[in-house]
Amino acid sequence: MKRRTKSNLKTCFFIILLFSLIISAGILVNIFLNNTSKSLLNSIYVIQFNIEYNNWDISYIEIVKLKEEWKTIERVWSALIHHDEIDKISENLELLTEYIKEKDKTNSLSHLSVLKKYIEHIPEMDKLCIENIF
Amino acid sequence: MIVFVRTIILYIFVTLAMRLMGKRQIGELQPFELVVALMLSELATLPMQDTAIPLIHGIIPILTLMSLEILISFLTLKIEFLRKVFCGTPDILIKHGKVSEEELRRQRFNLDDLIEELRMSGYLDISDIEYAILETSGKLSIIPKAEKSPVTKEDLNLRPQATKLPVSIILDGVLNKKNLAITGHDLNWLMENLRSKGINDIKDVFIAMIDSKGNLFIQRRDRDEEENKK
Repeated sequence: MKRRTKSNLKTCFFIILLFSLIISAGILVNIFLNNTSKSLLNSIYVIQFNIEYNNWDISYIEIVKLKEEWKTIERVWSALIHHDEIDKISENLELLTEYIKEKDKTNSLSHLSVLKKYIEHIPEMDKLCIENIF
Repeated sequence: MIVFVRTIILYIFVTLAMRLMGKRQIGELQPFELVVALMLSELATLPMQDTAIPLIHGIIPILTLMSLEILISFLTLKIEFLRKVFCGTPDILIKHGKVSEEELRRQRFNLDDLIEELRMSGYLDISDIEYAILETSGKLSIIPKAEKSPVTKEDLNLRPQATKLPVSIILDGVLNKKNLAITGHDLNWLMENLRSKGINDIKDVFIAMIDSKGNLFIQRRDRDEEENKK
């Protein structure tokens, strides 16, 4: 009888531990996605400001920095989100670099806006809310 | 290559999950267990084929389903009400040789299916059945009328010897000392018995076991027999 109670307690403990781990991992992933996307968005705002004021050299330096930052973040994001989302961001980042290099203001700003949307969408997608559940 | 590695990881993961969920998963499934088994297979194959899906998107749902399955089976073990909700209750389709029309209709179980199940169990007439119970696992348990049930040793006043658990002592030339101790014999006893069969080395034995009647069964390796013939 004592052995059975011990086994039942072990099962309960295992389930509680597993659920706690899954929930904590989910929360940590959400925090990580929020922080990293904020960091990327900050760089994008800086680039947007510089493009609006035609500071192309600074914009180019910033986009190169952003690409470096993206390389590091991309590795971790690949394990957490669908790879299509990552491919979309990478593709837009490449296009944006070329437009900045060519000093094409219209295309640069439009791609910057799309990139912003894609990055903002990532933590939104993982957020626990009614819209995401249904 | 990625698909190959992912398949190995997911295979090990699903096998472990099924193992943790218990033996019933591969035998008689309750409705909630069937749901988990179906979902598990689908969840594992999606990230296996599509490398764009992170592996974690397959692992987290599998872990969650496994936990839910263990939790529900634990709760249904303890709480009768939950057992009724998740497993349902058995239904009597035939009572005292009479088919219950209402139960058949309620279970959407047609007469052809019922008669087929009876035939498969070796009963041709409904009138031979005392009870036919539709179990929660979907199987039909049939209890024949007393006069139609098979004769047992008890009916014939026979007193058979109690069946003992067979214990293997040597398997493929390897002695299992633990099992030998369980049988209550020692190595000298075993060697004496082997020598009486003309075997001098344990390695020459293919199987040696104490059978359900308590007798020692010995089978020599084929290779040695062939060598002896030569």
